[in-house]
Amino acid sequence: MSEDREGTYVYGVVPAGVKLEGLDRKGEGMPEVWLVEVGDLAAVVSDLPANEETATRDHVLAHSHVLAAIAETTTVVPLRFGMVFPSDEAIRDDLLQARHDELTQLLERFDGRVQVTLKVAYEEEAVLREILKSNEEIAQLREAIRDSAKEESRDARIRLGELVNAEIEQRRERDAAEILEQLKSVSLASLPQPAEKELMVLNVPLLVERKQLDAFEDAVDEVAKGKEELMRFKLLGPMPAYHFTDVEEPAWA
Amino acid sequence: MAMQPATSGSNVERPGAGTLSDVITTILDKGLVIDVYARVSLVGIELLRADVRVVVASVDTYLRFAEAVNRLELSTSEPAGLPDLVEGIEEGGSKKKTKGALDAASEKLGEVLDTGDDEEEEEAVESRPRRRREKGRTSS
Repeated sequence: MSEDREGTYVYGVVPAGVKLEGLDRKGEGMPEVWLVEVGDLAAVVSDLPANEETATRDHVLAHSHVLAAIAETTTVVPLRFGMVFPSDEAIRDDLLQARHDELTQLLERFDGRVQVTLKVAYEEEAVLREILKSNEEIAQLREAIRDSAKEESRDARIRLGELVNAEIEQRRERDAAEILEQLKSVSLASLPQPAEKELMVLNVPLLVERKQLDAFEDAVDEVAKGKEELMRFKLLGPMPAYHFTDVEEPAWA
Repeated sequence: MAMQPATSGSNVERPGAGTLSDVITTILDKGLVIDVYARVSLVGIELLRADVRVVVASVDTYLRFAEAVNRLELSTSEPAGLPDLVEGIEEGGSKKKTKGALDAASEKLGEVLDTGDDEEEEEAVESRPRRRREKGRTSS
């Protein structure tokens, strides 16, 4: 190991002997990666130069980019961002051998499967418009305070916002359940996550058979069809099964 | 398999692996951890992620919603009469408004991560030509 080398960055673990495809894209910001193998397991690694120990946007993107590229063709157990080993020996001893059984189990569980993450959010104006249309109490309260001075109607405004928030919650629950229901037949497991922002309807990683990806994407298109005014859909992936590494039996709740 | 052309005309955004804010909010603290080798300097970035995620309805939220509802000038009870305005809002509404909301997180991260060019944040990973480390490196 040369002196200007901080250590070896590990992205994830794959079965030994696999061919890493789609990783030869240095021009697109893809770092050079290679395998450190022992027995039937291999770690996907790259150099971490000594002057780059602070996380940058490039590091974060490289982590995601490399793992996504591998997951397109190969089963991979993703490591969490920021795992740096001092030597290849440490990778062999403390990762591949020390965690051998767990890694093997995860590779089996993820075999032929990938994660996709679906994020759905309401378009604020559209959802508020629907709420006004359907909820008489909110519509009336709004009319009552619209023209009053802000200071005078503060309590009423809070009440109005509270009602709107409750209505959004209700709709969120209903819409999220409806969307998930339509994706059940084309996915193996789901793991809904907390909302990232107020108007988020759904933030859900799903485990999908690689072979079923087309069918899954069609199903998402079908779900989104006709809802473009009301909701914004974003589909991330395919990516390794990040959210399912600590789930023993991935399944639909 | 495909019952219809999958992507043409789809209103589902597909940024692949995602933008920086996608990556941070979606996968940054996920995956297998080998505690001894988790590098604090690299992992400290998670703190940012926690920031991005916390969503708790509060009085501020309520006041904001009330304000937003009050701003809706176009009465839905008069569908006819204002076609131009309605059209304009619906078109602009789906594309621009929420984009702003989603951008907020990445802008903030851009600053903290000291990356310089915030505009690139929304670009998908695949389309990023930039590369900071050009130094030649040998395999192992």
